[in-house]
Amino acid sequence: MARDDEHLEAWIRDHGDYLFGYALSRLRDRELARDMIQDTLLAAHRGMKGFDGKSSPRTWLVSILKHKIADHIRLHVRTEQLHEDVQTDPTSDWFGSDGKWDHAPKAWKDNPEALCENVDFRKVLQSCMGHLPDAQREAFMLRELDGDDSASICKKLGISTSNFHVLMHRARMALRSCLQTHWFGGSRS
Amino acid sequence: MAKSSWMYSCHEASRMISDALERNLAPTEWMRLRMHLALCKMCRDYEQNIHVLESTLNRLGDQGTQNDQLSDDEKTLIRSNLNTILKDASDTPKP
Repeated sequence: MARDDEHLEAWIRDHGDYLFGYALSRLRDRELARDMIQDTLLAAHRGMKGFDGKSSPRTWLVSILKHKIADHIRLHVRTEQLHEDVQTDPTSDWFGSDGKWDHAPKAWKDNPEALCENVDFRKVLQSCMGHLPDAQREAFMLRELDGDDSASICKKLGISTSNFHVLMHRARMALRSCLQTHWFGGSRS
Repeated sequence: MAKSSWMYSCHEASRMISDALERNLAPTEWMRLRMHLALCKMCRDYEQNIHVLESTLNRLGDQGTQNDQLSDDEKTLIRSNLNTILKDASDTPKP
């Protein structure tokens, strides 16, 4: 690369894998994730003057990447996924026609500290999150892992607050059930 | 008031358990949810699961993302694509 592009090489070397892991966990598509990294680096290169140096380069690159991913979801994910309440409610699958649980949830014994340390649990969790529909997964991960506030998530994804609440409820329901099956034991629920 | 219309079903209660993490419930919603939970062990356990999930994820932060790495080939491809794009841009005469 030419001399004035040296920072690009440094970004790929120092942050490429981190950015890729982030993008892949949201998009579940290697080629798409790679394209997002490329677009992010390009945007960062062209916007170098906008980088105030107050945050670390990684934080700055991640914030650009987050916008790219949200744009992709907003533009390419089927609108029904983002505006889900018009569809049949998928959370009905867990309940009988009387609104009672088909399979009773059982309290989980493991505590959050221990779960976080457990590499196997993290793998199961990632796989379960991977099975969520794209829009649900993105809203959910922005909220729970990145700790973004709902107003900024709604703005990024172009959805209403009530739609966001529906997405969160559906993601929690599906994720809890997946973890019950694949981690906390039993083929129930 | 008919009992069935005022009492939340488990399905409705599960929605409120999630909403309570996102917004302040209205006083009536809150009362109906607490009433349901007082009487329903299944939903108390669901709420417990959701709270374990919630604090695990919050604690996990960016460790909750994948550890996958770009292969050398993928890095090379990104480099060469960026080079091409930037070269094309600099070759284009400015208006």
